Amino acid sequence: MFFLSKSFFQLARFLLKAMVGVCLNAICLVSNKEEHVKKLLAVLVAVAFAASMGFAAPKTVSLNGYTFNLTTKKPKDIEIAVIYMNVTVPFAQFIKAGVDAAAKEFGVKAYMTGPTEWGTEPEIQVMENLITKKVDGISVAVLDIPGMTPIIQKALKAGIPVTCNNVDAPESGRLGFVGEDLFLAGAATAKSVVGKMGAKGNVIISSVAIGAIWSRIRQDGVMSVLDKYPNIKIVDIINAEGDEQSAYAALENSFIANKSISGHISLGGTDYLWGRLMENKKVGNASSKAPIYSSGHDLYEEKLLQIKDGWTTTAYGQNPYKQGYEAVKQLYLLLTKGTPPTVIDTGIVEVNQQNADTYLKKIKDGEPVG
Amino acid sequence: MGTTVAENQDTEARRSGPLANLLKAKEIGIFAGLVILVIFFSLSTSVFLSVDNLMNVVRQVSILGILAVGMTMVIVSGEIDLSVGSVYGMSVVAMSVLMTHGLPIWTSILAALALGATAGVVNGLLVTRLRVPALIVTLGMLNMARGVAMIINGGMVVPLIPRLIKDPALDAFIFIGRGRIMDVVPTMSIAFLLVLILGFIIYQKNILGYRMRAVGGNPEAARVSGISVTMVKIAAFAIMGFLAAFGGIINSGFLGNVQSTAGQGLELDVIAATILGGASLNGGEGTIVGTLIGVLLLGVLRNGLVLMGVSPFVQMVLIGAVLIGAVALDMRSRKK
Repeated sequence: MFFLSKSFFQLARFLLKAMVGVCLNAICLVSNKEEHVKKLLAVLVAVAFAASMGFAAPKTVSLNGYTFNLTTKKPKDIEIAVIYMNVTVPFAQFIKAGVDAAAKEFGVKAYMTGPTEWGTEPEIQVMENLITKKVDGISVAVLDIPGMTPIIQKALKAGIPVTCNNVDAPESGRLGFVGEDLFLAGAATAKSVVGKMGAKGNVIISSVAIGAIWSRIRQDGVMSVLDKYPNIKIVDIINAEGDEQSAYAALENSFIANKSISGHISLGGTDYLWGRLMENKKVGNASSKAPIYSSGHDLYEEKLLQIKDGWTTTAYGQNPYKQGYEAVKQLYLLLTKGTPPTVIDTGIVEVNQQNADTYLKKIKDGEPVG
Repeated sequence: MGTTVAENQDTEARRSGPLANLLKAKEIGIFAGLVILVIFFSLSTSVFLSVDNLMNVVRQVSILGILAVGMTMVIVSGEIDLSVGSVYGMSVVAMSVLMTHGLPIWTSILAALALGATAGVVNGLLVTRLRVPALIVTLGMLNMARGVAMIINGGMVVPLIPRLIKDPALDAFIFIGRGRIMDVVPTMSIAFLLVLILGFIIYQKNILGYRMRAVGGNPEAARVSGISVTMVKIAAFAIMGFLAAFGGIINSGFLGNVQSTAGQGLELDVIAATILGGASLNGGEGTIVGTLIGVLLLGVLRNGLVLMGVSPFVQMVLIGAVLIGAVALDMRSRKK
C-alpha cells in the first residue's frame, strides 16, 4: 500500500518541486525577456501549488503505535460516540449532559450510547456496531478490561481513535482517559469512615456489583487503608445486586447479622440504601450515642439530604459531567488538530455535613453535580 | 363435555375433610421445606427468630409477594408475564413525573395504577387476539415499558421530597411505604396482607378464580363450558399489571425516590416464588396460599443465609439449588 502511504506523498511532492525548479532555471537561461519570465514563473508556481495540493497527504498523527488521519470533515459531520456501561442508570445521565454540552460547543455530532443492561457482551456489541458504522471517534467506559481490550484494539487498528471515560483500560492501547482515580476514591471513603470511627471496630463493605472492575479497584483502595488498622474487622462484604428491594434486603440482613458495627463503606450504588436503612431503623445517626459512619460515591439530592440529616457521613463526587465533556473535547481536538488525548483526573470531591447545603443549592440551581 | 382440572379439584375438596385437605394439599411439601428452614436457621443463628428479624423478613418479601399474587393468576391461566418488572418501573416513573408536575399525589397514584392495568390489558389482548405466545408478547412489553420509563424521565432519579412535591399528602404517601404500625408491623406488609386477602377472595372464592383454573387446566373444555377464555386471560394480565404498579408505588414510598430502572430483574424472583409455591407452568394448578409459602421460603432463605454469614456467592449457588430441588421434588410428588 505504498501508493497510499505518507512516504509516497512526500516523495511525489519533492519530485514535483524539483521539476518546477529545474524548469525555471532553464527558462531563465534561454530567455532574456524578464516580463515573460515573471508571467511564466507565476503560472508555474500556481501549477506547482495546485499539483502539490493534489498530491497532499491527509494529515496524520501516530499515537501508541496506531496512525490516525486528521479529519477534513466539517464539525457538524464529525461523529463522536461516548459509550457508558449501562445507559439506563441515573449516573449515565450526568455524563450525557457533559457530552451534549461539548457537542453543542464544538458543533460536532457527539452523543452518548451504550447497552441498556450490565454486561461485557452487550458493550462489545455496541462498540462493534460503531466500528462498522465508521464513526470518527469513540470514548468508552470499560466494564470489563480483558473483555473490552480486543475490541478497543480492533477500533484503533481500523483507524478510529479510542479513549476511555469513567473506567480506564490502560493496557488496551487507548489514547487517553478522563475520570476519577478509582483506587484513590475507594481509599477516600475508607479514610473518611476510619477518621470518624477510630482505629478499631467492625465494618461492612457493600457494592451493587462486587465483581465489576470499578468496584474491585475501589475495594483495593479501601483495603489499602483498612489493612493499616489491624483492629478494624470487615465483618461482611455484601453484593447488593438486583432490584432495589433485593439490594435493600441484602443490606438489612447483613446489618441484623452484624449489629455491632461502626462503619459502612460503599463501593458504589449502595450508600443511599444504607442511609435509608439507618433512617428507617432510626439507628446510627451522626448525632446519636452509637453512630455508624457510612461513606460512598456520587452525589444525588436525596443522598445529600441524608448527609445533612446525619444518616450518611460522606459522599464523593467524581464530576461525571466533566467526564462526558472532556471525552468529546479530547477526541474533537485529536481529530481536528492532532492534539493527543491525555489522562484527565476529574478529581474526588467530598461532600459532608458541613458543605452538603452548598451542593444541595447547586442541584437546586440545575447544576449537573452528579 | 370435558372435565376441567378445576372441577376435579373442587369435587375432590368437597369429598374430603379440612384436615385431610390440608395434608393432601400440593403445598404441603413446600410448607414442610419452609418449616425445616425456619427450624434450621433458628438453631443456627441467635437472631433469626426475633420479632425484629421476622418482621424484616415479612417486609422484605412484601413487594415480591404483591406481584406474585398476580403472577399466580397469570400462570394458573396458562400464561406467563415477563414484563412485570418493567411495568412496575414504568408506572412509578409516570407517577413520580405527575407528582413533580403538580398533580395531587392520589391522582398520580390512580394514574399509575391505571397505566399498569392498561399494560396488562394490552398484554392480554395481544396474547389472546393475535395469538402471539405470552413469552414473546411480555418480553416485548418488558422492553417497551422500560423504554417508556426511560423516555419519561430521561433516566434520572426523581427524589420524592417536599422541594419537588408540594402536595401535603407526601408524608402520608411515604408512611404507606415506610411506616410501621405500633413501631413493629411494616405498613408495606399490611399492603401485602390486603392484596393476599383480596387475591384469595378473587382467586379461590370467586367465579373468576375458578375460571382461571379451568382455562389454564384445559382451555378447550373451558371454552365448551361457555367460559370466555379471552376475557379470563385478559383479566389475569390486567390484575398482574395493576399489582405490578401497586407494588412499585408502595416501594417508591419506602425508598423515597424513583428510578427508571426500578423493578429491573424483578420478574425472575416473582416467577421463581410463584413456581416454588406450587403453581404449574402448564397452567390450571396453583394457589394463593402456595404462593405465599413460596415467597416466604425465598425470603427466609436469603435472610437466614446472611445471618449465618454465608458468602454472597455461595448464597447464589444455594438459592439456585433450593429452587431446582424444590420444584423437582414437587414434580416427582405429583407424578406419584
